[in-house]
Amino acid sequence: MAFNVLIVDDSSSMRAVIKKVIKVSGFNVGNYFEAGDGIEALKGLETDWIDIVLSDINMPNMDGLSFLSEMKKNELFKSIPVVMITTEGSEEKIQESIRLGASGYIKKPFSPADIKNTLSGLLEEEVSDGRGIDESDEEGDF
Amino acid sequence: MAEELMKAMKKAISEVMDKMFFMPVQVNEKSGALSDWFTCEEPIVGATLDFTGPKMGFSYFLIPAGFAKEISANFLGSSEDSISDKQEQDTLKEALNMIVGFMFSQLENGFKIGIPQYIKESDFIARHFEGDYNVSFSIETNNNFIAAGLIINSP
Repeated sequence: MAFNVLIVDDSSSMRAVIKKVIKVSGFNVGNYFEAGDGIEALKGLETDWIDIVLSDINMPNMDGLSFLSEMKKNELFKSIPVVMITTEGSEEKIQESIRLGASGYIKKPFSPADIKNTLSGLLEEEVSDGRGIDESDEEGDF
Repeated sequence: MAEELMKAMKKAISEVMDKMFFMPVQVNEKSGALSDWFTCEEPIVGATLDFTGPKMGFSYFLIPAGFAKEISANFLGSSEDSISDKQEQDTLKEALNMIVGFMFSQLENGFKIGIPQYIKESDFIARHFEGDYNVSFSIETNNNFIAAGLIINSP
């Protein structure tokens, strides 16, 4: 079974880069969904089945920490893993993300391996079922 | 503080250009009016990003338009022909966002960054790139260069 990914970032370029890295890492992704801020992301969660969220912190309208907080208050969404991908590298922000329920944290600038390693850990169950990472696809041309 | 900021920015520029743009660069501190740096006929585009905290000011990233297309293509892993204006603008904003974010993450001094803004040549000319403390870097590749820097208006 493939899983669906929601990428939340106000930069369309960064969303495209994250999507490309996930693709070449060989994960079995069904659909990619995108949102430009926390408000759009919450709407996306209402309408689409999402298995994992990757979110920036510094965004207009609703930032990543407010989005994470709202998401974790909702019984339907609170079990969905959220990985923060952000330039906000201070220890304070990391601790706040973890306190709010983030499952992982990736600092920009990142390497493809940073994303692959973090997602691999979170999607371990899918991997053990033979549904997640396809290792033959590991050497992508990103 | 000034020395720390300068070192942190230099490191951040190298790291971001190498990791995200696959472009090893030579980063050098440079002085003089920014308007004199660019002698090419191409328009200059770029991004600015305000910050607050122990010091207030903004950072900038300026690049000839043709080179902006090239680095956007590198970033997105696409051909230059396929890069839209929106993608190019977003890429420049994100480049500066990553540089400034990484720079302040090295300092742990309570800086907060705003939302990056795209600027075109007329904005670049209109905005005063001066403050109580200025530092400018030329980011040099084999055949082109980018200007980046920091303007601090101390409270």
